[in-house]
Amino acid sequence: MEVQQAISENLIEVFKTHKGAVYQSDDEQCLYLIFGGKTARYSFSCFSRLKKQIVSYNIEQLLTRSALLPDIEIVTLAACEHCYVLSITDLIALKDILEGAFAMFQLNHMIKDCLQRYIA
Amino acid sequence: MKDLMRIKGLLSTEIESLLNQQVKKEAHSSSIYLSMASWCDRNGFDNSATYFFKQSDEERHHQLKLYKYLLDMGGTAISPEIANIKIEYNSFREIFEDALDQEIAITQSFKNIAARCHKEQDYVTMEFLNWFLKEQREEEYKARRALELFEVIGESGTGHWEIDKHVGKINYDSEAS
Ligand SMILES: [Fe+2]
Ligand SMILES: [Fe+2]
Repeated sequence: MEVQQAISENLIEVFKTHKGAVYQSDDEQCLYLIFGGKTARYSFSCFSRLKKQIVSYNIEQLLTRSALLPDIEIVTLAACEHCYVLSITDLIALKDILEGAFAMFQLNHMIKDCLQRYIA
Repeated sequence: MKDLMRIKGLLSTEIESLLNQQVKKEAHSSSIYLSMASWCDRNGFDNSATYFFKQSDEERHHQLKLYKYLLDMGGTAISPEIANIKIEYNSFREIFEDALDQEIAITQSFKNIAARCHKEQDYVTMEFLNWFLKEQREEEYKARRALELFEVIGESGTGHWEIDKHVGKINYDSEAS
C-alpha cells in the first residue's frame, strides 16, 4: 500500500480495518493514522484528544437530525494541524479504528505492566 | 511496542476522570461554604460566618491539591464550571444540616475513587488519597459537632446566639486524630 511508501520507519501495526489503520513508531514515539487517503502523524496526547472527540459524536442523533443540516462533520483539534471532513459513514469507520487502536493500547499497557512488575 | 500511554503519564483514563470530577466537587463545596458564610453574616451570626469562610478556603485548597496531582502525573487538569449555588436558607439549622450532608457526600466520593484505585492497583494514587480520607474524618467530625450544638444548647431564647458562639470553638483534637 502507499502507506508503507509514505513512511519508511519501523512501524508497528496497532489496529487495522479495511477503511484505515493506525501504526506506532517506537523510535519517534508517535502514531500514524491512515484514513481517507491521507497519512497523519500524531503525538500520543493529540491522538487521545482526537479519539475523545470522535467518540463523543452521537451517531444516532446525527442520523436523525433535520435534512436541512449538512451530512458532514468537520473535525479539527486545537493545536493540531490535521483536519478531517467526514460523512457519517466515515465518522463511524474512524470511530471503529480509533476505538480498536485504544483497545490495543490498553492491552499493551496491561501486558507491559505485568511484565515490568513480575519479570523485570 | 512501547507503552506510550504509560510514558505520557501514570493515571488511567478512569482515575483521571474521577479526579477531575473530584476537583469539581471540591470547587462546588468551596462555593457552597462561601454562600453559607454570606447567609450567616447577613443574619448576624459572625462566628459561623468566619467558620464557613475558613471552610471555603480549605475546600479551595483541596481542589488545588487534586489539580496539581493530576498535572504532576501527566494528566489534564480541568478547571470546573460551578453553577446553582443556593443563596437563601430557611434557617440557621438548615445550614449545618446541609454542611454535614455535603461532607458525607464528599467522603463517599473519595471512597469511590479509592475503590477504583484498588481495582486498578494504582497504589500511587491510593497513597495520595490517604491524605483526603484522613481529612474527611475531621470534616465530618466538625460538621456533626456543629449540628449537635442545636440539640445540646437548644434553639429557644438565646440559643442561636450561644450556638454561634460555640461554632468557632469546634476543633478535632481527639486521640484518634
Ligand atoms: Fe474537601
Ligand atoms: Fe470539606
